[in-house]
Amino acid sequence: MKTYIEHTCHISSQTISVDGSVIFFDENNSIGNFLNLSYRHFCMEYPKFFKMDILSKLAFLTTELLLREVNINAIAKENIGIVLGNCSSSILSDLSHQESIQKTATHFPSPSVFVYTLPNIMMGEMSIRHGLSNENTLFINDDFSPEILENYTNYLINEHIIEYAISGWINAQSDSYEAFFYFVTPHSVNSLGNHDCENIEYLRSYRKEYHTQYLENIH
Amino acid sequence: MEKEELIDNLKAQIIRQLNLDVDPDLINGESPIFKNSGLGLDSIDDLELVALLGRNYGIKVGYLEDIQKKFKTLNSLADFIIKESVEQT
Repeated sequence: MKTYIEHTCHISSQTISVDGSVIFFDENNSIGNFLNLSYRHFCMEYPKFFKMDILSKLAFLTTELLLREVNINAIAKENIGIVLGNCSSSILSDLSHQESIQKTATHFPSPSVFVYTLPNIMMGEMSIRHGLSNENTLFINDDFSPEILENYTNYLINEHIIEYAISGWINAQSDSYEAFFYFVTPHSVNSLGNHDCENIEYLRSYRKEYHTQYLENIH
Repeated sequence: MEKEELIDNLKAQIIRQLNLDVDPDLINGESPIFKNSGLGLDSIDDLELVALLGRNYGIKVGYLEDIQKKFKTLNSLADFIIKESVEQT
């Protein structure tokens, strides 16, 4: 069965684009402030957002904006899976937690930080928000691996385990962050092309470069 | 520390430590902390509150204790801290 990419959402370099069009940018903020600012800009209402770590906030925002483009009410939530790739795990929360237990005199681990020291927690946040209860998988590789995303997502769809998927790449480190999510569907109508390695790579590279140039053009 | 000042400190600490997106002016001493509070606190926040009491006030609270029953409002939480502080001195 052939599969297709229906919509994309990309967040990087303080810029957010959906299906290739920039819908928000802010050049002067740290990643945390940028994500909070984006949340407010899009008038989202989910108070738990502010308790999430950077990685989960990034996943939440990207998913929220992606699914706004999808006719999600026409799809049974149990037919949607999540297949993501990442390379730095939950490093930001790991470092925060380590800092809180580093010195004996100030040994005060924070439960709300510790709970995010597993990168797949972000998929839990996505699932809770959107009622997703099917397969969710996070692959941690040295680098962006579209082959794994294509192969595993297509396997799940062809084996009728899921019918649709939120797939993509997400990573957050102290000096960089990126989330590139796309919606995989068995229907070719209004698609952004085939769900294959080449197109995933192209869409992600094109968006990433576009974001970088967008900021440079602003200056 | 006066109780009013303690409540103001608690308010700021809880908002900061629990990452709550709320206007501090909307919370007063009789505002419910847990049920029907609108603050959206969960079980992780219970643990965070226990950690806050230990870190900021040197008070240990057993994990098995029913946090939500004991600390319904900031007033009750402040009263508990004052009582524990007196017993420790």
